[in-house]
Amino acid sequence: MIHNTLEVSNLNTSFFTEQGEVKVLRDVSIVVGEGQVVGIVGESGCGKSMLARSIMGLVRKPGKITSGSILLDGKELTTLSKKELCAIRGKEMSMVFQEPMTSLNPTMRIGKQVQEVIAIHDDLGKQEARLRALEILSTVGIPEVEARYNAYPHELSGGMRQRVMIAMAMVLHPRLLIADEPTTALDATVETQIIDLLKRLTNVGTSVLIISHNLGVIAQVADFLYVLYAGRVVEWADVYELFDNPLHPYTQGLLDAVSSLRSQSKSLKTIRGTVPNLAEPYEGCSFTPRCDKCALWCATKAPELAIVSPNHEVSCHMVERDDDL
Amino acid sequence: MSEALLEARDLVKEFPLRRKRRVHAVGGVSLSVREGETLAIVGESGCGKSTLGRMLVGALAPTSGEVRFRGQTITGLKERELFQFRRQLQLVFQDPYASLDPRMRVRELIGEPLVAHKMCDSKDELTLRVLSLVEAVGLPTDCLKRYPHEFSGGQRQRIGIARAIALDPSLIVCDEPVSALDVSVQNQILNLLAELQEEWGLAYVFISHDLSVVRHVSDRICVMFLGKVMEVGPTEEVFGEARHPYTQLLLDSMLPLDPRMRDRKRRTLEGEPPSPVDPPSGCVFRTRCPYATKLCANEEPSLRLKGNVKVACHHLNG
Repeated sequence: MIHNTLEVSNLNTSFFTEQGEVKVLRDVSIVVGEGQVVGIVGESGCGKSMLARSIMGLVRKPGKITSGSILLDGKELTTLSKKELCAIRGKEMSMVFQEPMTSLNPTMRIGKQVQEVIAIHDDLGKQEARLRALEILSTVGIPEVEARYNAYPHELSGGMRQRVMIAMAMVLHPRLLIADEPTTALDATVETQIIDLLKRLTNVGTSVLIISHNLGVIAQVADFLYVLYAGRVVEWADVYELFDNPLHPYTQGLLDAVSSLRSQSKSLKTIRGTVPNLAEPYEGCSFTPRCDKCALWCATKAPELAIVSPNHEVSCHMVERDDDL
Repeated sequence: MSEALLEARDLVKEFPLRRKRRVHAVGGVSLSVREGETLAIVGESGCGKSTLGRMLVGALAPTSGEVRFRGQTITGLKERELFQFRRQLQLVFQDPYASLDPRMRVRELIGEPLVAHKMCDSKDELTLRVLSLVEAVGLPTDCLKRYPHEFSGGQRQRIGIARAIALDPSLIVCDEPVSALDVSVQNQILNLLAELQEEWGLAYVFISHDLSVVRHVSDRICVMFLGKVMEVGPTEEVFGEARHPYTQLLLDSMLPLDPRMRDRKRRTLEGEPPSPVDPPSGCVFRTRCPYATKLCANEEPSLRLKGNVKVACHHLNG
């Protein structure tokens, strides 16, 4: 059996605003096995980034994890103190953000920034830390590392900056790397390079949780795929199954939207309406207002995730009914 | 070509830096847009596609070269003379969050071009025209008194489009109009742009880095690299058989939607893109090109016609 690096169960994260509680994650459960790449997709505002921040322990006030558990290699993260979390972040789990320009320190040479990660967590000598930093920078594909070591972020291209971010995240060989839209700000030719790099990381046993709205990226790297809608997992499956046999109307809508763009059809498929405002409480399935397949009870009763096949679960009343027939 | 709506000839734009250095943003681009067609400009960030787009509508003065609209030059005109052309040439921007004044209501936002160009005689007429624009772009009719922040990204882009079509232009330069949007919403906007084109007979210059979007919307495609045109021709022909090595590379980096194709071999690039401050001699793509030879370093390839497609490369067989 594959060992699970990350197990998130029934995670609930809320924001406590003047208008009341806004539930941004509702009973989210995901599993990332050792060396696996797990993708999270959904439109903006579905809670993708919040999930990443919750796992990293980076939810800021007025947000809070209200219940649920996050296990990293069997260790519960939700009950850890700030200090304990700091010791884990960067070492056992790390994160790569979307925009490499705003997440690197513009006044610090890139080599130093990588070295800093090592200095915080490991008791290495300066010289040794420098060697480690050089080594990881060349592993992620920075050419002429010795020269680039002293470069400032603004002297590098977007793709190179993202490599530096990945180097910082990888230098201590974390168990889990969370990549939040790692290629969205990059050009297509650079995107493919970064994807290849992420794939290589899993060879050393690192698990990757990749968040993206780009289904092409997901199809390239992920082993499993979770579809998030309005803070809930509405469907998950192994990636082949999900692309072959998407069952939730939302998943189908997303896939249709992308594939119609690539077909020769004149009119493009869309999902009507927009992502719901999570501040407004909704009783039933939150996709109902945009769904073409819903029944009356969809608006009153929220569906639960139901098993379709060993590696496929979906939360939709209409799918369950099909099975009953 | 007589039927050209807009024609650019040898457009050059350089931005000065310190110590006499310059950014060569656009280096001698010639192209034409026909009435009612969509010309896509693709290329990676920093290739000069937005700069080119702004020069085409007269929003940015070229360092040299000329833009002609229906045979009349719009380059070097005074602001007052340019004003009449602005009605005909409009822009839609990428970021629907940044391109709308947050303190203006929808009514003022969409009415602004009509007021600026004195298109309406009375307040009532203005309201009516704004309402018909709101309907044309598929916004709810009760939205006139709302502010941009009350809308989603897709709806904001609809406001931007309503502003652009308000003066009944002949050509709209859409600069990455859907890049900031989710796929489902992106398709809504693309459908809207197609409907408007059909109904209003608009021509588009569609600037994008997303090849699947470009393939869908455009009649012709112009591939740029470092301020120069690498290849230009009918979209289906370019996608069917890319002739320029850079176009081939771009097409190769389109990610297939099928997980089974993940192990397919791709051409990828190593190293860094060249800088527009100090572009390579000869062919600008040669430092990244697998086929580059001495000739490429010494001589800049000119655009040559191969079938219906123009390609700038020394190494085209046949």
